[in-house]
Amino acid sequence: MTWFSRLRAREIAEYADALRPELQSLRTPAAPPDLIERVQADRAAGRRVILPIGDEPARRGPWRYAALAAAVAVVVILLLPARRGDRGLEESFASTPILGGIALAQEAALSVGPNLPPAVTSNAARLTPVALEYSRVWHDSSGRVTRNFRGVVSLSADSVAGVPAWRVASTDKGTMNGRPQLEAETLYVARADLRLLARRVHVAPYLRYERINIDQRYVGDSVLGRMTLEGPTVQKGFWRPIARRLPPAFGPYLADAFAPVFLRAVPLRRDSRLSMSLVGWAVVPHDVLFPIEMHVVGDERVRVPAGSFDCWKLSVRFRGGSQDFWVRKSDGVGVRALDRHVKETGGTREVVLLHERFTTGVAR
Amino acid sequence: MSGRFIDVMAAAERRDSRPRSSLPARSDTSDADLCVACRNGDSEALAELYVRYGDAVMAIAFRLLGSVPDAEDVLHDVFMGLPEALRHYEDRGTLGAWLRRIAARVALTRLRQDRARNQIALDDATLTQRASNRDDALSLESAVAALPPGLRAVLVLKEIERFTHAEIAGMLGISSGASEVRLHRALRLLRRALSEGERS
Repeated sequence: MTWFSRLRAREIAEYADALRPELQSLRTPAAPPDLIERVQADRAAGRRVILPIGDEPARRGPWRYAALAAAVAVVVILLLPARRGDRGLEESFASTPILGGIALAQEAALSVGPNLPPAVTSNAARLTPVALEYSRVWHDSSGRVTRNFRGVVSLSADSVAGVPAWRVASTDKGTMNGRPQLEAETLYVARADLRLLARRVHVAPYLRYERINIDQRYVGDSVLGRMTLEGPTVQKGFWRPIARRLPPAFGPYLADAFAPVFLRAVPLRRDSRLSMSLVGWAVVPHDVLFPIEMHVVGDERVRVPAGSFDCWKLSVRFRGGSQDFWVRKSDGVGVRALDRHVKETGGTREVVLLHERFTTGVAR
Repeated sequence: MSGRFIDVMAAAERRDSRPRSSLPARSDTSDADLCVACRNGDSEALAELYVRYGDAVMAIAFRLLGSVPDAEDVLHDVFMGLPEALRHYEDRGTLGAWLRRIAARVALTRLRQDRARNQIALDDATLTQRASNRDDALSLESAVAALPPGLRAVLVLKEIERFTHAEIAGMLGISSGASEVRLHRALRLLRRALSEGERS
């Protein structure tokens, strides 16, 4: 029997050798010349595709059918409660930027484009290691505190894949409607020009989940990465890809954690006008980038718990709203931000500098 | 540090949303240089890679899927994702081989997703083909097309695209042994179909 099989196998192999030239000469259609234009148009519109680079996991052994059936049963059970919450996926997984209230304004703004020149980070060398402690308090229209957070933003020298970088770590702890919440963000920006390199965000709890994790890396004109969720109702292995374009015209880009210190790198004077964009979590289409415009409208002396400082007063405008932002004249550190008309509550939101500590971290 | 004027000019350049080509004559540019430019968002480099490798990607997609619109969708997706995917290209093998491997994976993913939906249509097509082939000689092309998708995929990847069984196993999520068995079965079916065609 064994020999018989081998003879048949050899026969088939010889048949394959004979057939191969004919198989290889079978005609196939050519690539349509105009298809690349559609590809370029789609990319220019911000659409992205993540290609499967790795191999499929191997499936071996007869037990795989039983395992598959069991897995299907588990998935069905897990999906039953999960589906209820997934209805609002597109609305849910979006960031709440430090400037607040500018979400959902993105698409309208993108169709217009920035009116002001981009912020120029020519003072990037001015950045030094520092730790800044802030409070963020939201009041509703009746004056009741709805959210109360305290957070630290620290800047330290680091490197990413050999590129000298600033590591920006931001942690906010507080309560939202009486419920404790933690928000943490770690961001890496290139020390030379402050372009974004990588970012990780954790918020716990988030909606009905124990925690949401956002991992982003910035490649060329794109933000790539993944979102994962944690909690008992989350299907194991669930994740969502992040692949969005950041049009160069809307740069420079900054992330939330970097907002309090970004203007240290930007030379300001009375009547300076500049534009930039905040990067959102980029999981859903309306939360990719938020163009903002800043105008130095005057200078004031501002008293906050950290001290009394001579500041530039900036009017920060974005689609759907504006707020005031005071940065210290001497070094551009954000000292106070005030939004007098928070859309959701009709109340106010104020950020103030509580304490600062210039650390001695040495650039590596 | 550069002066303010130069920084403003650099920023103004950044405002041009369509990246400018940094490469002189495309036809003389090496694949490696095109890859670097494409990775950095150069749309002309992407277009040149399409000129060089579009036909190869289209061919493998068509052979696996057996439909021009489906193959064009694969071609579109491969070049849509290429600038980001090139980060994983380590320049060890040829770019063409790497691209064909990716195209095969995209096509196979599509095949898997469409399998349930296409099952009835595929069977109908096969029956129609067999009926019509009673009158006409069964061509090699239609015999290959009539193979079950799992067997056809291995046949195409091994005998036409010249991937190894280990590579095919990786793409299909099966063992190398299973890939060899599938090839054997595909060739046996093909031989039977072609000899039946010759007899009729």
